[in-house]
Amino acid sequence: MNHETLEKLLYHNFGYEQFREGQREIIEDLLKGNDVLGILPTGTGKSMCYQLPALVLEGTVIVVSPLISLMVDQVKQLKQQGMKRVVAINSFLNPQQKQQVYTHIDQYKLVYCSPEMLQNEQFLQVLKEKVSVSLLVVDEAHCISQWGHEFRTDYLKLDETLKQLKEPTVLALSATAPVHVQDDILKQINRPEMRKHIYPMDRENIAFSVEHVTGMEEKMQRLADILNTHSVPTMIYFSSRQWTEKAAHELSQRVQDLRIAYYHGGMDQVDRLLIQQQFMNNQLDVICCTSAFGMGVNKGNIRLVVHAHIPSQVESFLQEIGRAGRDGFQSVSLTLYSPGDGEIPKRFIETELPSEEMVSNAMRYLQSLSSKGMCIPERTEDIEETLQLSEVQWRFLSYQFEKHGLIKGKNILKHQSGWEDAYYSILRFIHERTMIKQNKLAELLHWVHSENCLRSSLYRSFQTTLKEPTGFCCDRCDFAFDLWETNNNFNQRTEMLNWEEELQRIFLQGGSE
Amino acid sequence: MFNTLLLHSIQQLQGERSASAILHMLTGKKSSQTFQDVYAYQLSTFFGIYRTITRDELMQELRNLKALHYITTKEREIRLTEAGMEILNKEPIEHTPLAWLNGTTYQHMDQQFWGRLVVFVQTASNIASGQHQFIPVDDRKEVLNWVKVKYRYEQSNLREYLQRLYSELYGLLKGMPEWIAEFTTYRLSSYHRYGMSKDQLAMRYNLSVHDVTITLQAVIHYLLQRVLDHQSTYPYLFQMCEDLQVTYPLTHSAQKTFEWIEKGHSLENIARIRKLKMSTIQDHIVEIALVNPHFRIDNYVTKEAAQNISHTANVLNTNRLKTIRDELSGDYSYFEIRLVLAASQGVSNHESRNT
Repeated sequence: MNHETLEKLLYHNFGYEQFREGQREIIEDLLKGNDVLGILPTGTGKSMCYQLPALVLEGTVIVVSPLISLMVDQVKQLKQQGMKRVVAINSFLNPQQKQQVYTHIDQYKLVYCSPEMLQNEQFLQVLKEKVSVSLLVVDEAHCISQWGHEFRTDYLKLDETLKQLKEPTVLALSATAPVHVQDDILKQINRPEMRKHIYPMDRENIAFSVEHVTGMEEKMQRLADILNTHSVPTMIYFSSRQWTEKAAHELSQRVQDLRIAYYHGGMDQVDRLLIQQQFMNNQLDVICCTSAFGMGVNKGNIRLVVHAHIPSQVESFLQEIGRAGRDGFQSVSLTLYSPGDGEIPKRFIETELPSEEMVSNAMRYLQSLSSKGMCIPERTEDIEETLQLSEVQWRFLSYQFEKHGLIKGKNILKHQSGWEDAYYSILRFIHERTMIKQNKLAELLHWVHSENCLRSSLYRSFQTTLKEPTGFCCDRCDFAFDLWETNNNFNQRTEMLNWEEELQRIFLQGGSE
Repeated sequence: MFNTLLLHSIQQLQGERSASAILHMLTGKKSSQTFQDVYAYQLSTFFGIYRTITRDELMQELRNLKALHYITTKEREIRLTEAGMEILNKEPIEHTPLAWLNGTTYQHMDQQFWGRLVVFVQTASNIASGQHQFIPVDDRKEVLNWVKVKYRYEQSNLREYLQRLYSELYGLLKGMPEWIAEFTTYRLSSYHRYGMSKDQLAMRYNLSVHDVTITLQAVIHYLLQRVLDHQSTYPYLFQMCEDLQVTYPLTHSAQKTFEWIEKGHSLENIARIRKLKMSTIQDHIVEIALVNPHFRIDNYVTKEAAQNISHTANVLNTNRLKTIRDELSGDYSYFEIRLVLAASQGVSNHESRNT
């Protein structure tokens, strides 16, 4: 297919006049049947790399995605753009709905699912019998390396699935994958010949600033000051739900002109949707959020991304600041750091995987079940309750037990030997994983305290060259909030009318349209 | 408002039930115990009106009420204090939107109806003003499917449909207190803005998020009650809930048992056929007696037993089964006592009542 035809398809189906960096090269390679590893910075339209091929290729495109919310957002966006033959298969569907989707599976061009879903016998059977899979996409492919080893272990079984699906072309996509992660992806899905399309991830229109303050109170004061002088669409990341709520209320009082709300995973589905859409629709100016917000948020004019708390690794940080300035205009990443801030992610890392005691408790529990001739209980909630484990911890342990031959499915294999060896091996592995994560956190903390150019030290482990910033570089080089001129008139308010007029407006009645 | 609801419930329960009973009432737990409780203590209008509340959230609210000295707790027993009673007297629920609630009748359909209304209005408002890109604010599949079909059907007359729907809704909102009409309007989404979240409404009206949830629920029940009682006055809104009505609000399993009874089977027979415990079948009978006015309990309790049990319950002024049973020196089974109470508390008729 020549350039012109691809461009026409792009315009007719998606309304864009030209491809963005990397899209065309990747698409062309895929259409030739080559496997591709694509590393494209966030906000550059990664999903176009498979959405357009889906229109051209015969058969079905499967997209493996790590998060249900991400899948749902993508499907929603595609439908909004007029692409109807797309579906997400996930645990929200009831058996009837699932059956309905399975029956009509051949009518979909794009099928989104989780890696776990691909291990479901029935689903795999449906795919094998009813469709031919032309392309399998692994979205957010760094998850293979980041999570695959611990608790999303089904990511490590993708190579087997590919065999069963008659070896379709593979596209692995990520925005944040340092070299060792790239190598791991190729190894785990067993496609060593993948064509690598790696684009530098530095964002030339984002300036970096790190300010050291004494504590939360000073952070709030600083935020209020900045927002009062720079009334721009802003996202502020916090480490906890409580803080998003508290900050939203406090900032609303200190910053008169801006409309501020919070967003976190504990809100009900409808309210999450309303807040997200209000923000996209410019009805809100500032969102105080946890990391739950942002996946799939595609708003062009976010000018400022603040980290009031730091995440636990550089990759997450890059992903979060990547939501700023997608329209190409000058935007800013601000990190507010106070002494001891590293403790929050550190504690998170320490408690994410099971402790020594939890491992030995779990093993004793299994041994006692086995001595009574019993299996592992059907409901994982019950096990987690009995052993006081989080969902992640139990998933991690059961995978480890299985790997060490102690259990198979719900059955406990009674080897007298083996338990002790497994115990020490699992502890070693936990220690190793924890160390890796501590190092990643240390890397971010190191950056926070860097005295040299923030831009070059942030991207160092990802790439060797840097683009020239289009505006400011960082506060170590040339940036200060005083120098940053912003257009503060962006917020054309939708004033609320009295209810009778408002109701007329909603229903397009009277002369108020 | 949520506080008022809790205080009222605590008063009705007379210290005879724990916090769990309140939780099960709010979340609409489908158990015979809960069914019977809400009828026994005249709380059936609150059944299932807050299905998403968690135990932790409820306990937090109860702790707050305790800190305000409106309630006292002794082990699992909860009672109102003088101060609590005073609050309740000052703002009796009849004077609040809580009076619009009717959980047992509408809880199975309220969220469906509201979801359809909100998404249809959002869809029609957007498309009629030339805007084809929007994200439906309720993404439940059954709601979206309904709106899709409805939209296709009304597509050609969208403007007129909007106009009719508007005048029906306007008339109903006009009958509410001004602030609630506004509250409801601001919750809706349309072509020019997405609706307000619960937290935003809470801030605007100086309410708690629980208050917002309950108020919204009360509004929905108000609309349903008017629309279903005056179908010809509100034909367009009626279309949005017509198919959601059920004859009796029974659990699925109790409905099955009822069908077997209608065919003339004995309880033992049904238990055998359905491979259920006898006690489960008895739970179903109690459930049916609560909601079905034509159900006769005579087949399961003698007239004399029914009279004795009712009389004792009245004299002792209690719904505690054990107290009643002990008073009657254990002559009657718990099933008989529950059934008689159910028949007198619910809507069913019993011959003994007329004699």
